[in-house]
Amino acid sequence: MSHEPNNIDQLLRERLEGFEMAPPADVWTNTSAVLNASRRKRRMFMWLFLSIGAVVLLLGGLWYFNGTPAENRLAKEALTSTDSDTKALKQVQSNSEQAGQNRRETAEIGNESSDQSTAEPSRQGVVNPKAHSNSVDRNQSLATNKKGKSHSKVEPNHYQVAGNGPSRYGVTPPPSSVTPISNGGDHSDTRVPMANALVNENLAPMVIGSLPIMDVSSFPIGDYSLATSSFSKVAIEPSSFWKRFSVEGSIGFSSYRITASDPIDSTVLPFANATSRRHSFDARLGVNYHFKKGFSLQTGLECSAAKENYRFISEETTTMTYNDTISSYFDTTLNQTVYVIGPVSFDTTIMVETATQNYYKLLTLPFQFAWKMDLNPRSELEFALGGAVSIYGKNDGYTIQNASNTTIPSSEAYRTTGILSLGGSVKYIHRFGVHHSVYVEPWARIGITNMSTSMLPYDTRRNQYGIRVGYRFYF
Amino acid sequence: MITIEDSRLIEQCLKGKARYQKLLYDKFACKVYPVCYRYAKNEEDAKDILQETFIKVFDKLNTFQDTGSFEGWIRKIAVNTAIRHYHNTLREIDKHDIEQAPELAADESVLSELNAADLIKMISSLPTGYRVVFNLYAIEGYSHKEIAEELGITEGASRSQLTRARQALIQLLQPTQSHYVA
Repeated sequence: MSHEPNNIDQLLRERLEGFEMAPPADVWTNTSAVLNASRRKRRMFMWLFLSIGAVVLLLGGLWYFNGTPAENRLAKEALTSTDSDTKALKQVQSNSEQAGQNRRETAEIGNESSDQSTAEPSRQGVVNPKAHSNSVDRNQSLATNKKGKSHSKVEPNHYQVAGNGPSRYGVTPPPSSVTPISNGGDHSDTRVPMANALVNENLAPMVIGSLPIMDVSSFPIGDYSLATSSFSKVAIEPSSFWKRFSVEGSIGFSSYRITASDPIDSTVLPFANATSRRHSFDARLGVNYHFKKGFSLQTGLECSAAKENYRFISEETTTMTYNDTISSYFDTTLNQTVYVIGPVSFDTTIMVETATQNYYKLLTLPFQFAWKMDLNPRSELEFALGGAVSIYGKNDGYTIQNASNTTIPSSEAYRTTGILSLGGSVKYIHRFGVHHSVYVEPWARIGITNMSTSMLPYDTRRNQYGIRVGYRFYF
Repeated sequence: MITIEDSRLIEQCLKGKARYQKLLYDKFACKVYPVCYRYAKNEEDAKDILQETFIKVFDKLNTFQDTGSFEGWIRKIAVNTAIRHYHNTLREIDKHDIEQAPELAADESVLSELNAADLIKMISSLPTGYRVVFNLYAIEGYSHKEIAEELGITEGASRSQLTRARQALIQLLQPTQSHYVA
């Protein structure tokens, strides 16, 4: 027996060296909960940052495209019409012969030709019917259309309007003046004087300041009509049924959290709680029908590719996986936390591989009713309420393997489900002329139901949000 | 130097992958838990120290330098966590020198009959001050000066606590008194 007073140090040190002792199971549960909370907090800050960035971009775009106060005032003046002008414009609409005369005379401006039947209408900007009085320089030419083709010299039968304010393009427009141009004594011209805005022949399209305006007299009357909008008293609205359609294509990014409620059959799925976070990129093709007064009905088809991470917390020491032949990878683990990818059916006795990342194919049919508010002649805000039916399924042949590596046929593992969600969006649209526009649209949806048709863990998609950018073509 | 396996584990954990965090925990928790238990008053405290240790491990994982043992790095975090966990208690350590007690030596035969888990619980049963100082000096290899700096006590207090701890353990290991409160 050793009599050294500190021999106990050495004895204990030697006995305890390399000793391992398993900790209780709840230590990891608590630890992972803290780690997950930290992860969620980081993601929340990331989304907050992205949202703030999107709002800043949106506001910056609004500020930029809205133009200076002077330009906006000029635009508003240019677009504002008096009651008498409005009545006069409606007269044009109903007078087809007068409309034909407009087309011919517009196409033959300067040519004094009367057999022009294929006038290329200018489709830019908005009409300015307001008349001012001033002298007119007959030698000033009309602005060119997009093809750069001049409509020739000043049409003597149109009012001419220009702005006084600074031009964004660095060109000083002619003095603000419009005068009823003499038609040379031809009193048979029964056209209602409409403004044919002209700024500078070097500019194409026609602009007042930086805002495009159009030669409405050259419009194919019958396809379009003059009506009021929320911004100005006069705007162009399609009167033809087919002209009221628009199509759009867009891409978007979204993220949402999925929670699983109690399963129908607890012998199939013993877990009570599950969470999943899904990030996806999507592409959408949409068709819209535009009613009057800014209302529209929108629908489309949306496909997405997503990355999803399911997680079930369970008391069972069961792990499971499924193999998506499109894209996946596997790792093997055996632990208290179960990672489930996608809706699968499994036996609680099955011990299988787990995967933590996978890809889905998702088909969504969005539908919404929208109302647009014009901000200025070139941009508008569209507020939409609606929803979507999302359908996803897996029939690519995924497998479940049990502890003895027996593979369960994929036909038994095929699942399909559908989700109905409701939501809203605010879309900022910037128009380039009559036909083309681009937009950015943040949106949010709340999943309200799960239309499952199989033995699935019922999951309800909640808190969906995303942002989309797209292009819309108006016919 | 760390192994390739540990290196991959660390790499994936730094990406925030939950699965690899679990794997890392499974690999090292069993080795670190006895350390935590030695410093703890009871199992609940041991669990708290272990949990706090691994939260710190994942939080500070990006600061790990590949110059030493990864297990040793985790162990160091565990010891520091244990020290911080009982810092308030450590301030209550009696800083006065103890009376000289008759020196006894550990009975190796009794020691050999106890398994490692029992020995850990025996250490855990010591009063807080004795326990922490004994662990730091006898098991971790700290000097009295280092212990004094860590615990905010004098070197003299560290020595006295160590002596008391040894006496208490030897008493527990005496053949006629080979029992302890687990």
